[in-house]
Amino acid sequence: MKQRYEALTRDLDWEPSYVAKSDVFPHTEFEGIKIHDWSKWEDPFRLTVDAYTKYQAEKDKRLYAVLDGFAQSQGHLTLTEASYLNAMKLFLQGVTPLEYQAHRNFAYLARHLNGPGPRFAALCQSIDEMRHTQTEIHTLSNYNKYYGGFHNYLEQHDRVWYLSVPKSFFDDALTAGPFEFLIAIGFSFEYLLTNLLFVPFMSGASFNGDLPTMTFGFSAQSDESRHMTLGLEAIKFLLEQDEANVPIVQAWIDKWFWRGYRVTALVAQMLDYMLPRKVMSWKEAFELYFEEQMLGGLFQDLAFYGITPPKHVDDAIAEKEILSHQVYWTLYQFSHAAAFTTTFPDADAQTWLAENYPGTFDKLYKPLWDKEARNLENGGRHFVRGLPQLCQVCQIPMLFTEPDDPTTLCQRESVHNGEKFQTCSNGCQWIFEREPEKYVQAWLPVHQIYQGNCGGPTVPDVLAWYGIQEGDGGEYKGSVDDTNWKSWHNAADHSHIGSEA
Amino acid sequence: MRITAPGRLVITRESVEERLGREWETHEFQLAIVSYFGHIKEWDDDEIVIAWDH
Amino acid sequence: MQYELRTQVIDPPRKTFDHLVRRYGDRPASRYEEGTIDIQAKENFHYRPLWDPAHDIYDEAYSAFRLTDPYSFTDPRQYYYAPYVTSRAAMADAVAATLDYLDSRDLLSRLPDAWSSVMGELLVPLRHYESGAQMVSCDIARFGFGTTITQCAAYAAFDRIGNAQALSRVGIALGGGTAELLADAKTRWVEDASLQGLRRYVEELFLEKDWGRALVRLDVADRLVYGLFFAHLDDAAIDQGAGSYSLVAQHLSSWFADQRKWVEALYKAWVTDPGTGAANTQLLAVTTTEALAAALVALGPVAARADELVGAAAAASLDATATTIRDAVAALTA
Repeated sequence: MKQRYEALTRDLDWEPSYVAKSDVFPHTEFEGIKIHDWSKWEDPFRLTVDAYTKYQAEKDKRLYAVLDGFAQSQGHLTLTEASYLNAMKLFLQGVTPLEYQAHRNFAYLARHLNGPGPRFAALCQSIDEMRHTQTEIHTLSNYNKYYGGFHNYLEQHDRVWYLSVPKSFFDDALTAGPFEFLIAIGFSFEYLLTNLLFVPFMSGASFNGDLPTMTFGFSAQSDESRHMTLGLEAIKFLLEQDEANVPIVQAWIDKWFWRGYRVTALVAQMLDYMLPRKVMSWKEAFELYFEEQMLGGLFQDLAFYGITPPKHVDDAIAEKEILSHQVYWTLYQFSHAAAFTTTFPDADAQTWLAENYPGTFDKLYKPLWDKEARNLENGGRHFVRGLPQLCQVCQIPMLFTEPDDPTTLCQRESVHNGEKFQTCSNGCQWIFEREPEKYVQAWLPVHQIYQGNCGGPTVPDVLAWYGIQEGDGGEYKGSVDDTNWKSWHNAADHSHIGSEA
Repeated sequence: MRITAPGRLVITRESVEERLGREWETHEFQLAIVSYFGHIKEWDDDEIVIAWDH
Repeated sequence: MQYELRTQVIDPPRKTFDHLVRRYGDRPASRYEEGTIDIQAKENFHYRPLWDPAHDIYDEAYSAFRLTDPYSFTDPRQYYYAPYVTSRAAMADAVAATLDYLDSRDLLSRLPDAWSSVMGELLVPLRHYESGAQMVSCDIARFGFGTTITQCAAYAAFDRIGNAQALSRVGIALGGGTAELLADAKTRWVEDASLQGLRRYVEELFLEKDWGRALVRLDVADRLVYGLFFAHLDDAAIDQGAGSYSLVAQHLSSWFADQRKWVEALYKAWVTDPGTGAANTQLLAVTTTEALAAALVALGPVAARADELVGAAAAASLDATATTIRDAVAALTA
């Protein structure tokens, strides 16, 4: 297999002589990475096109059979609750467009890396990412027909305030050089954080009756095993090629760990608050998928090269018991301007939160919900009418607290060319100050609203520009989804069921 | 089902074929795996080796 | 209760996503449409590329070829990932069946010597041409504008690697199961006088920054290469009792027919665009004419060598293909 693969794939390369090699590969010099021998790149998969198409076609055949069966049998009615779909709305709006971005930029690597081995691995990943984009759309398309929040996900990814968090993350990676992209996405995203990001969504799906999402997710994860391998090979290859690469790679790990970790804040609140039937707490997921697997496994292996765990990792560990609560509390109050709904965690949910967060929930967050319970009794569900200030780097509202004090908001300020910029954490400030010319370019949704670039000055103007319709956001209870869900279930003995929308 | 092994995990074609009672290509593993952690060191016709280098 | 529910009909409030309703009206969308149309991000890019601060992440200025609406082009094959890989799995099966057959009947070693030389000297080195075409197609997949175009280019890039691997397997079979002939083919690609024009053409194509022009330049060379090797020489092989050449050629010839479907459809979208059609037409004519002149120089020695080996009027066939391309250009600007 190895010889066959070598002959079929790697030996296709030749040294150009009619044009300069540096003109053929113009992007692999400027980042300072030194590569002496591209043939040292190991690709343990040794996949050839015939084997690839055979197994991928088989996987898709199985997946689409599940999607068709689920759609034909009105499978959406067997979910635990319509509110479960908020997790999937967030996924389609926030994650699916990233798969597409990955597709485009792995095509860039498949052109611009000098070695044929990594180019072929990148090309496989590029079309895998197209697969993920499309299987996600096709899976969630069926829910879009019946439920709010899905219908305008593409435009919203480009425009809506909370979606600029994942969008700016990936834009950051696409605008970096090929080696930084490899570390940012191939390694940090696809290896370091992939289980933490994806497995909770897929497990959430399986716990809440969402067979199609579970099927596409697990089917995609089998591709991920190749992608994780590419990411790991990439980092080892860079580290082994030249000692001078080590500090460059370390700085990228430091940057991209924190950048990616901030995006997973959306996963944290999803796990702890959005799933009607809980899978595991964020804290538990973080401990298993990050602390145990990555810090306990991966970084032990990378220590050989002089690589240390990411800078600011301690800040992430320190906030594992407060992160989801802070993020959901913010989303709860701003969901009137979002394409998902939120609701008050009921008594069972609060019991679960207290059990899973014995050190923080009752002390710090239950009082907030108790106050909100009184608001609700008085008919005054709380929404914040103003606009939040956003972090210049991760673009999450400035809702995080000081690492050692969960009651004091963390706010960092940097000055660049005489102008002040706010960041949410030590990690984001460090990232900003490393590349201020990059981050001052950020398209910050709230700034853009104030500058009049988002449909108009009022909240309804902006929501219209977001393409948000009645029922997409706000409170779940009494929403269009909630009402339809109940009527569809109550009308089981009618021969024909209409919808309310 | 979750499988863990300290340091090194080897899946051989022979042992899978024995259990399944039919021919099995190592690439078929892709149809079964749903998530993974570790380092895929070797993946050839006869075996899949998941192990750390250092 | 759930069982009962499943027997009910619920009118879905929505047929598809908003961007498809805006474009096609309120009707259900196909999986191709849902998975392709408008997927590329349109606005509010956060940062400029470090390696090209003059452009946005996706920027129509990466080519002089423009569509007023990039999605006026759609793939006539309607390939999204699932039908694409399914079709390619079938193609790979067919190639494997041919190679098994050639192998089991020992047909390649029974080829007339001259045809064995055509395969070893000229056909098998084309794996490097295919590999170059893969890189060019990847550039189009990254820098092209609009998912309908870039998706076709990404699959084409993957196809080219598939073609290169298929040709490599022919080389291995021809070399009696060893990779010796592949090493030999690589030396030929880099050194043989007859192949240097083509190699030069590919290397120069690597430097083409305009993805639209790169696409046309590659397509012009492809039409000459595929016309020569997988149509003309295919016929000649059958006439001269080299049927196993034809057994191999059929697969590449049917792949190329599939490939040209989307390329032709894109040309048509370019030249018929109500806003940019006139400019595109001029560009297409000029680019094709220039590329054809260069490609003829590149392929002349290849055809000459084929004629030396098998006397198949390959050079004349090249001219005939060139005439077809010139006629098409003339029809464009008429």
